[in-house]
Amino acid sequence: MRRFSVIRIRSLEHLFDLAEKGMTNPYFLAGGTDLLIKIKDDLLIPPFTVLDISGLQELRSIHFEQDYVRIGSLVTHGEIEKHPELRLLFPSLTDACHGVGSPQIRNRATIGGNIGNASPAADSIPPLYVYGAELHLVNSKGERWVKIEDFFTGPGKTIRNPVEIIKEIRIPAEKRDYGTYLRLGQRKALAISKISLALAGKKKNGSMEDVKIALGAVGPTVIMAVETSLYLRGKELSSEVIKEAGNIIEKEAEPITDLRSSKEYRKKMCSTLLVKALTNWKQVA
Amino acid sequence: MKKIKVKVNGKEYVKDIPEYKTLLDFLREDLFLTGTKRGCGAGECGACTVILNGRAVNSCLVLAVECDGAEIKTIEGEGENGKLSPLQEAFQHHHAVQCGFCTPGMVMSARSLLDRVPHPTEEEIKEAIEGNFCRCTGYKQIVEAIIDASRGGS
Amino acid sequence: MSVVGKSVERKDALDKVLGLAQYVDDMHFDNMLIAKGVYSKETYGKIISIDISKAERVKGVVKIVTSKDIPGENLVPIVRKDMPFLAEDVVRYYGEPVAYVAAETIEAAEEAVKLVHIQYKPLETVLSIEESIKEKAPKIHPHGNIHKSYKIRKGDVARGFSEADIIIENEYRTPHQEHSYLETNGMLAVPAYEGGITVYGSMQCPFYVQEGVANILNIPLNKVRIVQTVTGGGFGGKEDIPSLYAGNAALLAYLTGRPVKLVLTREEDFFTSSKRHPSLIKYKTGARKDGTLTAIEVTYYLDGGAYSTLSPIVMWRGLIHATGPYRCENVRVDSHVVATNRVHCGAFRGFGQPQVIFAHESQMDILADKLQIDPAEIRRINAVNVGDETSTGQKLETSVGLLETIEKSVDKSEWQQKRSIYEQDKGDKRRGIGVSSCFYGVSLGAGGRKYERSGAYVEINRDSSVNVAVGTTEMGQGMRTVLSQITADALGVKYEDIYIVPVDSTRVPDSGPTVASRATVMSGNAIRDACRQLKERLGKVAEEMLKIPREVLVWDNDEVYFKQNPSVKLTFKSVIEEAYKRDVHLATQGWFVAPYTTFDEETGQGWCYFTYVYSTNVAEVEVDMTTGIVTVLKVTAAHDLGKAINPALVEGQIQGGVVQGIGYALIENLLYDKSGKMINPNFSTYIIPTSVDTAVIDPIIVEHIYPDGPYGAKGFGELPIIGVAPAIVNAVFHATGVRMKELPVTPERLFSVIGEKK
Repeated sequence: MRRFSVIRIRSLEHLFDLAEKGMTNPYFLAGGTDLLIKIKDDLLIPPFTVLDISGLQELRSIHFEQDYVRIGSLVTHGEIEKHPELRLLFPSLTDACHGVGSPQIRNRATIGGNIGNASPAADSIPPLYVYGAELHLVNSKGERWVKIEDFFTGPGKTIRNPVEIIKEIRIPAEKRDYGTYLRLGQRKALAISKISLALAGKKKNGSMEDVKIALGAVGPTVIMAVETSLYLRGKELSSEVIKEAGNIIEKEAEPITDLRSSKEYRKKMCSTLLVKALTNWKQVA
Repeated sequence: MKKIKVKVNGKEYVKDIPEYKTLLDFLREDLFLTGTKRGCGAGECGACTVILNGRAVNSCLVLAVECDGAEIKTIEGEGENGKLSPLQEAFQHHHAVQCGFCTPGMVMSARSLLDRVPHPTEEEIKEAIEGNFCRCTGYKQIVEAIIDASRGGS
Repeated sequence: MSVVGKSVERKDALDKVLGLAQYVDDMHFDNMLIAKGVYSKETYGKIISIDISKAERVKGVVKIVTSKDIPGENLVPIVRKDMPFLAEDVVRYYGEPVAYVAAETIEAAEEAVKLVHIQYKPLETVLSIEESIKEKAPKIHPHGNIHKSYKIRKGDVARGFSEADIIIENEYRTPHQEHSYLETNGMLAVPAYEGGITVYGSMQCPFYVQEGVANILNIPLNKVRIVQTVTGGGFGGKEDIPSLYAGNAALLAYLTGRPVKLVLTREEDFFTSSKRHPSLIKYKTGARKDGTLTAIEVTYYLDGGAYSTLSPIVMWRGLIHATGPYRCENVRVDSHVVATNRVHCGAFRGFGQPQVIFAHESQMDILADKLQIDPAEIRRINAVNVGDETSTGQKLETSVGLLETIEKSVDKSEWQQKRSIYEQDKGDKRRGIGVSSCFYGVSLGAGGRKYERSGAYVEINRDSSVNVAVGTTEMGQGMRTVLSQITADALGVKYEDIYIVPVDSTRVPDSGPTVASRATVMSGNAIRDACRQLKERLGKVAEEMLKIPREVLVWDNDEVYFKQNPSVKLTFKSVIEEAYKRDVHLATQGWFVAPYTTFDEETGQGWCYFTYVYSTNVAEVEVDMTTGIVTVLKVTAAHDLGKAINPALVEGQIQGGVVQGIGYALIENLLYDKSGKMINPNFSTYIIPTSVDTAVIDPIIVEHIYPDGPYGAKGFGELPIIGVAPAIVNAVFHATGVRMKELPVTPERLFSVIGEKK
């Protein structure tokens, strides 16, 4: 392992103090499951400083409030997947977190880390899109709230400044009628998604009122299938509607070929996954 | 260099270590606990699994400095007083060991499961060890061993 | 009280469950240096210059070696010598070792590796079998791009095809497969007495390694001591290439006078270790309406990669088994292993067979479909039995259990019922059931005649405990256990009293390589030979003690007794005590030379292996037609391996082999970019099955006793993987009507073919 220095961050104030003084290439260490691999693979340009924020207890809790559920950025995937109240409110998110890596990875990997790492294939991100999550970014200069879809600018790229920390994720505490997360990987466990789909929807008088769909690993960032959502609005969940929605979503996605899958397959699978998701919804309804 | 204090298999250690050192290297090189194996160094194979503050983790993806004040259990702490734990005995009886390189990590993942869920289903067992590769056994005899250990009330 | 045939606990399990087993990376010597390799970043190129000056200045770096530093021959001795320990003028694949650094710390070694500057002049690359066999292809070696060719000629194929009612002809392709043993390769070299060297390490074949180290250092074999450390999986992957790592570690130790440890990272192991050969197979089969085969014509290409390593004999094994375990009077097989600028390929469980068996078992399935014959039935119709001939004219004299494996796997899997039930599936999820049969020649046969002998040294200590020294190795397959069982029964003593000593070339006889499922038969028979001699000596002692002729004494259960009156007896211990008092020598060498085998390269005929094992796999799958995802539901695997010395270990081999076969069939593949660089050299991108990717596996042991094997055993270990992929692919065909001719059957591939068919 390459030599590097680690600063154990004791509090946000400690972090802000350090930031004021200036640091060369700071990287946050939360769960470490992405960062340490990047260091091992020599993907970070030296010299760099690792800021170990894993001890910040204030970022480790989940709060349920009237309007929002607030998830600290250091909450792990394992904590989210097993959380009964989260499962009731945001099944797409808990399903997604369950599918990440292995138990060992889920015990370490944090939701804030998954967001900050900004992989288009990250599992926790599409559900956050469909549930309308916002990120609380703080640094020594102040704080800001950013909608999750405004946060990413490309694979591994975000609008976050180097010493700006994702403090928490805020999700509107709104109960939907249905939520799911479907993914295809190269095997059943420990697989990076080659395509994923998050869906959350509500119904009114038997018709779909508000259906949000996000697709992972089909573009430089997670994308929302806006046209498909528009099409579904106000419609009943019939076989014909499901089929047509499948056709529309296929046109919305612009995936690429990489070592995990091909462009053509991914495009087709957008449709397949959506059809599966809507069909399941129809069956449980 | 940083000083850390950790409790490993019930024993307290205070050591000065480089900040970039992983928990895996710390266990193997500083404490000579070589039962924990390096299979990939990237959190994929699970050979380096240990229990950190009650949870199974890949020790290759944890920095030792993060473990200051932590409690760690490794394969060397599984048996007591030189005696095999029921889980280890079950691995032995069920031929759940072939080349043995995955065994310590596998036992740690199983231990972590049984600590939380004393009587797991077969599905729960398979899921608990999904992050531990075994290229020899095809997993069947391992799953049988864990089922047996859970019935023996380990 | 025989222990042969019983599922006794493994000898090595205790150390392994305690975490005490010492693998090479667990060893440490004072003053030890850490070695790291400098691996080529060019796929094929002339080396213009190697500049180590910056790297040498890194604090802690003690020595950097390049080919210039080699005192001996810069060639790894395998089948033919064409692979250098360190590239000299040319690198022939991305990742080829060019230099090694020894430093005080791993950090210093890693830093130095980055500072070694190598200038290359790129050459035009050859990256596939098709490119390699083109007439104007760039030549990778002075001898050209064909590492080796072999053939079989039997009968008259033209006549055979003219007699056929149906002829089918297809091309098949298979990918690289990486062994993915959990322990990466590693060696620890320590300077020893009088200019000698000791190398500890992970390996299958210590005497190959010994030859390699002697070769690079130019010292005699008696100065090279090889100690096998507990080895974390091999599967063939630690047969050839450990010699290269050992040679380089030894070179550094030799030149620095200090212990040197070289343990590879997973990526380094992926880039530099041998793989299963990719293949291209053109297969033509002719049959009569009743399903009997009339002619088989095969052209079998293997991608051997940059160096030939074990390729000639890998291909030879594939050649001998290319027509499957079937009777066919007219056969023509041509096989060629070609060079490419990709990683060298070598041994991997099955050794050249899984590729060609995928082809022949697909052909049999297509025939069955076209002729409207049940796929299991067409195999039964053509299956070899005692008295039949193989494609090389070898008459099978004993122990041919193929038909029984077909019967039992078909019955136990409820083949008939499931064939019709699964055919009813018409929706998005469709199930299918498929079968494959295959055989496997035990040990090296005529392809490795010079290694077809095995030594064993058995010693009874004065406390009546027994040491056994053999040069074959444990890599997880259970050899120490099986050979202990054989020894225990051969002497009539307890299993617990047997100790197989660690493999150390100064202590164990050369028993040949631990490959080709040969350790049970070869070392087992050598041990029995030694035990026979010891019992002869002990018999004399017991005879005098009991005053009963030794011919009527029975040695069993730690006792020796009178056959006609078992109450007249002595304890084994008392006989040993008496023997020691009388200065009887209770240690001896056993030796076993395999039965006659031969192969004529000109006629392509011969008595290739002294015996064969047989298997039939029935696979059941579920295909999601909307995604192309294949889920293997169940594999019923029936294997005739002669006597199963330890049924639980046999089951472990079947379980593990089938899961590797599932990986081979569905997910495993090495990927290369256009420049010839491997792009998935790690476990996050090279996909192997996890605990949730397995299937229900139902092993069936069939025991057709082989009279010349120890207690009737043949050999086992490789067979379980061989027939799995075709059984799965045939099941996919049954489920979907789609015939996949290329492995792995990824969802992408299957889905696109299903789409075309619609």
